[in-house]
Amino acid sequence: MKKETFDQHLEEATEQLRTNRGADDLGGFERGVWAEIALHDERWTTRAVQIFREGIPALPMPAVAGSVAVALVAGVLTALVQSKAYGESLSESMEAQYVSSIHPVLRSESEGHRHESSGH
Amino acid sequence: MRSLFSTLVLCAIVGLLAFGGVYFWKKSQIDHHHEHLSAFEWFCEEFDVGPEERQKIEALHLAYFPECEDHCIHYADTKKTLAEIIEDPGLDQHPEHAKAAEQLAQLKKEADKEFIDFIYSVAGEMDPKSSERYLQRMKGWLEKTTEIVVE
Repeated sequence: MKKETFDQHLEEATEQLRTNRGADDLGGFERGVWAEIALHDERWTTRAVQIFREGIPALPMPAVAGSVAVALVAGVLTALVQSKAYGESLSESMEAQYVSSIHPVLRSESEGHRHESSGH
Repeated sequence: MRSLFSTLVLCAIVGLLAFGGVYFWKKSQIDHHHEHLSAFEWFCEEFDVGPEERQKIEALHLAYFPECEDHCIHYADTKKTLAEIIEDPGLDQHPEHAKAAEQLAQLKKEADKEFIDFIYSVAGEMDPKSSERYLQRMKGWLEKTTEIVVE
């Protein structure tokens, strides 16, 4: 379509849309468009109602396998991160033990080396 | 085809099982490793101390322990004395109060000095990279000891 012809059609179409017409005056094509818009309402409430009406959507097997694989990897990675944090916390407590064996103030504070005057 | 709900449940089960399995396996490995680890062994492992350095550093530790222990006892006694003075309302403005507090502060200073001298002597036996890391970590504890004393 030439640009001039397109512009002319566009102007005509815009003009038609600008004319305020009642719902009864809609043409067959416009009715069809509005029917499509009504069917594809993107509001979450409408979608939720649609899910309940039509049943929970089913997933194809590759998508299920992919989701399970993602869950597996996520579980393993989270476990590795958590276990690393656990190892670090143990290492920190070992460090505290080491320092309390070489610093007199910390040594006196630690439970294992608490000195009472009567004891020594 | 599988429903979205059953897929979600399956994913949650697989994810949880993977997490639980790997986490408890790694945790048991870590626990087993730390179970029989002494503080000195931890130090050797953490700062990559080789067998040759280990002997020298262990000797330094063994030589330092009695001195540290004496200082520790002295510090603990002074702290106990100060606590008794503080608890006694009659000794609130007593010169003994100030004297014990001063003595405790002095002992803390000496303890820090001993600690610094010792960590530098240990670092001297380590390779440069590890010694720098060791000194940095140990110096961090000086601030913590000050916090403990203030508490």
